[in-house]
Amino acid sequence: MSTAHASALEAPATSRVKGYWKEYNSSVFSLLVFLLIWELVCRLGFISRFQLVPPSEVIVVMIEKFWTAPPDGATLFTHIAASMTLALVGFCAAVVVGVPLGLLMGWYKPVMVLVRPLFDAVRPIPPIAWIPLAILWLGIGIEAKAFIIWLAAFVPCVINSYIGIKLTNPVLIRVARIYGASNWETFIKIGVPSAVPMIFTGLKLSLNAAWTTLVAAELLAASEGLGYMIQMGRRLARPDIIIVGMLTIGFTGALMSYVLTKIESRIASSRRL
Amino acid sequence: MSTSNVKIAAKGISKSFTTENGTIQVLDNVSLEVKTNEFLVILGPGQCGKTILLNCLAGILPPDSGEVILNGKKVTEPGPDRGVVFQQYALFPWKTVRDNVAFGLAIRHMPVKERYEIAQKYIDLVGLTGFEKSYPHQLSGGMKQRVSIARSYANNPEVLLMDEPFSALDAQTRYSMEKELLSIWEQEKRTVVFITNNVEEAIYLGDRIVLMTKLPGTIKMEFPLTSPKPRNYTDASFLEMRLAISEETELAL
Amino acid sequence: MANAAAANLKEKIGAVFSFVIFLALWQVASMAVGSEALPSPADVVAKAQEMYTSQIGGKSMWMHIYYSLRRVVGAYLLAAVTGIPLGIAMGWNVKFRKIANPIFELLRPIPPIAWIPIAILWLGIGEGPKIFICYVGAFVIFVMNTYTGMRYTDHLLIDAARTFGATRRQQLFNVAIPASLPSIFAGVQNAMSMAWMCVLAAELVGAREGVGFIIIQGMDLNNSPMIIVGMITIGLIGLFLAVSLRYLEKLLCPWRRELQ
Repeated sequence: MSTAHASALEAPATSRVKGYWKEYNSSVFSLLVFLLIWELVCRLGFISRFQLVPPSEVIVVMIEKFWTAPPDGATLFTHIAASMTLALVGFCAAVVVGVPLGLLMGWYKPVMVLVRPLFDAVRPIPPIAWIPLAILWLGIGIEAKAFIIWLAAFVPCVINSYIGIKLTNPVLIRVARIYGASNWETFIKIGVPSAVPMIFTGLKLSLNAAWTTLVAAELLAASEGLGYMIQMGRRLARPDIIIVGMLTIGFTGALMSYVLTKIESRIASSRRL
Repeated sequence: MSTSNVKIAAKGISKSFTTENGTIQVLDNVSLEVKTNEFLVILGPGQCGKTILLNCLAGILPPDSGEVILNGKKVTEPGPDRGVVFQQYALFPWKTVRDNVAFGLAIRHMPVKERYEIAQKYIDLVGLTGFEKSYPHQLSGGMKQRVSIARSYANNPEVLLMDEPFSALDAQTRYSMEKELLSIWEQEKRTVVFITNNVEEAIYLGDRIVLMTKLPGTIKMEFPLTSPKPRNYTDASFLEMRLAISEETELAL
Repeated sequence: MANAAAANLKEKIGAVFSFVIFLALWQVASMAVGSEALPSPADVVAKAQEMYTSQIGGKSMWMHIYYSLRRVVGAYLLAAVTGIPLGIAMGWNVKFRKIANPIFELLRPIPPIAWIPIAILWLGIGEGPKIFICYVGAFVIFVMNTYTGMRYTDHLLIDAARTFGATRRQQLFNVAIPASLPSIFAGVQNAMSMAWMCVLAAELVGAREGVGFIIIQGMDLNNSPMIIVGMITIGLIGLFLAVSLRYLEKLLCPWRRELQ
């Protein structure tokens, strides 16, 4: 068995590369075919260049957008920075308020009885539906957008923290009580830690909701940011700008989720030790 | 004469698995023969590849070398001639008891009426009359395993392969299930290969016991059991056999 | 039993109590900042009466609701009919998965709302882009949930079916798909709330009818009671859609264990 073990570890690098290639060759192939069809549809004039441009041109525009501001008023980095700042501010504010509220709702009955009906009443209204009211109240500046994003991120934070702490193993709570822990101590030392995995699920949903809502808010009222960028692309009938914007939105969103997942696995692994 | 009587046989079966920690030899040149309507028990410690052996007999897993012979023909894939009763029941949660039992017949496109008649017969046989319309999640572990046995029986297989069917049950249920399995088998004789890690269960049920070693799994010894069934756990002969087998095993339970 | 009933009653009283407090606070706040900025609950009720009996932008409130629902339901059904089979194919066939997955993974992180500008560029400003956006939102969820359900099908069940001689086709239709139904149904719910959100977003960006148009009109007219009535309408419809789907699931998946 030890020899088998060694040989598995010392598998030659070439065969490993071959293995990856075998695993992914049809995926690479399928992407290439996809891009090729797209390119051909545009080049052969099946579609107006005010509606779609070939991927080769999208790539050129994407590279150019790193340092050029026209036609949408800012470089790609400025847009990314504006959107990310807004999304993260709203998200963090939602976490700071939402997670403790959810935990308290799950642990203290009176909080639940008072807050939950209101929460359930407001929840069916999608955060996007708050945009007009927020703009009316707070103007078209950063406050209105921050409020909407906060609201969108707030709901999953509360729900998941609430469910997480509700699912605390009752045996652990009883053990803590037997050893003389007060209700508050039990909450902090048993309830909160056991809710952590669910809280993280909530954080991921929150971040997702924040990012989606940000795009909606920037479509309606903004002077910079990725949502503004794609909206400008539409006004100028520049599909290349829109597509660069969409891909950047997707990529940035995925990147933020990835960072959050990394943080989660770091915390989870340190807890297991 | 004796070879023509063989229902299912394993011939020189070896099987290994490659994991992150290297290759593990699970079965090493295992051969055995099961006669028609014989109740064979394969007894072995926790990790001895007996489940893998059963999966090879069922055709779910292909062996690395060696072959499985059923009625003189080589087995290459699972088939309705070999019914399997899984340790974890493997009932379909979206089907009622009756539809679970009738599953194999439905696969063969048997008309609904006929299908349900046969299903009913086996539901009655395993003592689940009245539970036809229940879903598996509404049943206890013992009842689930009855459904699983009925499901296999209803399909009328030539060989019944049972993979530690009672090991997830509590001791009391286990005893009664063993007793009932025996009475079902007396009523409807089949060739049975029954896997267990429990010596008592093996002696209680078997016509013959095959003892397996720890990994890599090989066959260590065979014990023919001739005393009439149902056997009594406290008979002198029972205890004697138990002692004899225990001395040969490494049942680190 | 009596205990549970008492607890239930307590909760109901708590809910009523919390709404009363909420309405009282709302009233006080409205009096503090003036009904211009924050209309009182009575203002909103009066406005609702007016809106549901008169016309807004040439159509009755019910027509606006009808327009929004028509877009959502149309796009939703289309997404179900295309998304669920795609998810099944991706979950069942390795070759197909390898071909479809990379394109899907490339497009999936883009929020459906970010498709609005290009949808308008492609399909103009009529019904097209609205239905398209709802479709994209619901489609991704249908595919993901179906695919996940298929991939997490308990392999033991497939093995069990094989021992009964089930063909590959029978394994798919008699085992893998029914086993994925709970996951698919989770998608059925999520896809609906996503589609409902998407229709709002699309109507906010550009529409002459629909509930999204109502609230954006309220903003343009600086009429906050109108926005609030619109928002409550949106919430109630969303709730109605969710409840009907949950009822449908109970009807179609009777074997599912309740969570409590």
